[in-house]
Amino acid sequence: MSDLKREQQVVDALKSHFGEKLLSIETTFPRRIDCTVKDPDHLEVFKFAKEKWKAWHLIAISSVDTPDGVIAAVYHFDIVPPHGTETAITLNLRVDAPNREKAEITSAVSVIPGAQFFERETHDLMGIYFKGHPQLDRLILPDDFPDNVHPLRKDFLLEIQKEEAAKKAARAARAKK
Amino acid sequence: MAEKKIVKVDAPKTGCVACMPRTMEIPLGPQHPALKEPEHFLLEVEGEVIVNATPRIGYVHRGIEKLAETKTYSQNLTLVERVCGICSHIHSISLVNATETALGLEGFKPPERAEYIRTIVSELERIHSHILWFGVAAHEIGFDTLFMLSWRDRELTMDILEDISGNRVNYAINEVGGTRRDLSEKQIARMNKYMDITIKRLKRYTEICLKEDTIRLRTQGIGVLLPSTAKKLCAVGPTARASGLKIDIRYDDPYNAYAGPLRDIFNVITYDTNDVFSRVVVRLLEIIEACKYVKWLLANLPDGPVFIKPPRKVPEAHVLSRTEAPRGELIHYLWSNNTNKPYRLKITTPTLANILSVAEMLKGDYIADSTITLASIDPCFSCEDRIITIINKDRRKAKVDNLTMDQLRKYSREWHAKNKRWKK
Amino acid sequence: MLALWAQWLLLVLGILFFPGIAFCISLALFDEWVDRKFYAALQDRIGPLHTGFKGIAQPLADFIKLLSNEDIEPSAADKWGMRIMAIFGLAVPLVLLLFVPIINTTGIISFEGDLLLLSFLTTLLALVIFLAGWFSANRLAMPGTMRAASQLLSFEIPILLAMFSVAMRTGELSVAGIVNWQMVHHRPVMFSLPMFMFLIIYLLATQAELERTPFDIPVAETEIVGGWEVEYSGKKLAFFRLGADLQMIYSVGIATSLFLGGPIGVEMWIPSFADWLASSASLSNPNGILWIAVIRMAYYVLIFAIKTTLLVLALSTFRALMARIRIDQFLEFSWKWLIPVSLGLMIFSIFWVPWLDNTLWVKFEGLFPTGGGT
Repeated sequence: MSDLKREQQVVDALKSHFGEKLLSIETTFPRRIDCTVKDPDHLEVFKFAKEKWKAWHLIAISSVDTPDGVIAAVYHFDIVPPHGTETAITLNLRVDAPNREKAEITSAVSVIPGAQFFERETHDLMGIYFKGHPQLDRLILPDDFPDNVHPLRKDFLLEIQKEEAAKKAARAARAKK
Repeated sequence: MAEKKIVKVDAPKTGCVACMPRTMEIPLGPQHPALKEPEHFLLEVEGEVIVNATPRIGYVHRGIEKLAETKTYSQNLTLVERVCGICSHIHSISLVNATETALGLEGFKPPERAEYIRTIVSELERIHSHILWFGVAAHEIGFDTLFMLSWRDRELTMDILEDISGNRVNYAINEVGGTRRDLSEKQIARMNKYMDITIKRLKRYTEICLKEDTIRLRTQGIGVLLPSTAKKLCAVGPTARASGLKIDIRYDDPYNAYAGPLRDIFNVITYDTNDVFSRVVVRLLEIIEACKYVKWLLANLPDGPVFIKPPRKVPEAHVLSRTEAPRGELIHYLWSNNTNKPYRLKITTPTLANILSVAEMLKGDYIADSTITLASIDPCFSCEDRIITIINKDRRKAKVDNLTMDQLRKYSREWHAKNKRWKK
Repeated sequence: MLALWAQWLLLVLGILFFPGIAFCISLALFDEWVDRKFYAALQDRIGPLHTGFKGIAQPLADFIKLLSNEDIEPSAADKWGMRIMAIFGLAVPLVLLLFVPIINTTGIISFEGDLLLLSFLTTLLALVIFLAGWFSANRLAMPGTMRAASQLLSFEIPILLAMFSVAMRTGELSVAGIVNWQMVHHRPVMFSLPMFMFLIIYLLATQAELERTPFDIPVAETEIVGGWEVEYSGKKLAFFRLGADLQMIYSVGIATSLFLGGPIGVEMWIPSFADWLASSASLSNPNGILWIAVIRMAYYVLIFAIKTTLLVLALSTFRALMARIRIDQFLEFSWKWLIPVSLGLMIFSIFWVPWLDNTLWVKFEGLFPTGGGT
């Protein structure tokens, strides 16, 4: 398991097919491939995987407010589905939103209908607007929650975080004195 | 008139005017005796047949993902166990696996015995969760005798869990770097004995389910999810396996002891009638398999320590940890940033993946079958919702998240004094 | 002969206390306790435990507790309708119980053709349930009401067929007449193949009439949150609950009277015992012995209680063994199986009865010392 041969094959196949479109691709852990693409290209990756490996399973969609201040969605996709005694290989496909204020990413629902609720959840909590999503309503937050507040972004602070920040500022002020 | 208030007449759809649909909206939840947790389904019914189902979740949103960013890894283990009351252990396994994988970049490896103990607890958890589900499903179709008897047998597993971890629900047996408790010979002997009894009882229940007429009447042909639809909607866990899809993370993406020789005897249970009956059978057979795995793991338990002290800080990594919870595939996606707290922890639970499937299954069913269909995916809404209690302070005047119990009581008294119509 | 005022006093006391309302309610609560205990035992539970001996007072305690609970009426509901239906839900089974022979071979009220009135009143009960759900104006009560209506009406027919088959068999149209027929002929109606089948059909239909598993479709808790009774709380719910218990007693009581010989026990086959019992004092026989009358009364009550309790046990076994079926499956079962089968059985019994009486039973009755027969 320590040799990443199968993973490398998948990486090679992706590289040869997409070339420059893959902004980065690497495999650190066994059975995991981390990859970054630009906005609409993730749909191409899904279509390619569906054709080549008969992939079907979108595991989840994560969303991260990265340390660089970029809102990113990460599609976790079983790029090589399990077959016989072979294990599955998972692709973590990161798609960055163009900017924070209007974070828009093309919805994957047209390729994978099962992505609907994952995208609604991500939209609710991280504020990523999925273009072409059939019904991008509130899923988890209450209906009367303010539109421009997204709890999972780093600029949304919990009470405890505010207290911590205040303490830190006080400590810094004391140190200055 | 009462009738006008409740009957909503829709505009005629395509086709003849004579069969103009007269639909009525029936809410299923958020409070409903059949649901263990709050969750809302708006069922649009024509007579007794459901034509559309709209799910709405989020009633038990507690802000766990956000909160996890403010806590250290070992504090987070306690936190993520509170995501769900039934499958608590699998959440802590997921986080521990993610953390240890990231620590693996610095050459850290947890002891093998600890991995086995984790796996044993997770299989025991699967057994008790599935039996719980079985009892609830029996109750949904009005078979209370089966409900009572199966929960009696569940107590055996609960006793084992209490014995080895000290708790019945949140076992708190995991720790980054191993487990908190070891198994003694006496405990192992007791577990073996209890597992034999459970296997015997479960074989009997499987027999009953395959033969009993009223169970078959209520479960066969209900809530059908075809394999192609299941694939399209990304169903996971027993729901997908009951539609004939052979997916099981324990086998497809092995972790802990499943990656070892246990993989050779591992058996992915599938059944192909695609309905509720199929899900019942899959879960019952899975319990029997889980009992066998527990017995195998106990027989092959390696010696050695159960805990190795890990480094305090977790190196920067993006780790995806996949585990098979009793309800299906559970995801913990961890971004660590070289500190002792996670930068971002994303949890996706099997129920969220399956909720789309259940909305699909409900269409065309009778109202009477809606609850068993909904229960057939073993929904766990507190798992699914996790994330808020962000109080919008304009909307509600009180800061509920900072209230102590006494303050809350005082607040409720004041509220009731103000709102007299609730008083008798 | 007693004075007229004394007769009236006896009648009023009979209706109010024994064997009327008070006694029937006690018996109903006792049978609920038996039902709950037995049902719990079948499920490996203990059942009610703390109130009274082994929890025997629990149904009464539940009733009193419910009476004291807050009574909430939805603003959209027809409030008077709900109140009146709750009273009807208790009153109709009580009236029905006055026709059941408990301490005598006749009920408190008895006249020729009361079987017809009974059949009318049981249908009235279905109407009460339908209106009770309708008046409460609840979205979950509506399907429950519809289910209750279709279920109760489709199960009236087998019940009526069973009752009138017995009437045809015995040639009597009153409950008392049928009980007396059994006394005179020294055998319960049940002792004949088609009639035994009718007893089973009657019990099945009773299970549906009482809305108990597997036919608890109108009140399915996990499907429609209690169905038609969802909006009833406090006193009204207590009335309906007690009404359901009384209805259970009435249903098994009528089954006892029609098929099992009512309160008549072994004296059916021991003529000397029967004569001794007949020598007791009663309104029609004022010269009889008074203490025998007391013993006779106690004996009849005992026999009646044993027979009804056995039937209740049969019903609760049935309840424990099955899952709830769906309304369409239920209607299919009722209209495609139960009703044709009972109709067929009715026709069969018409031909069977003369043949049985003329050939088989005459041979068979030699086994009993008293002889008899038509």
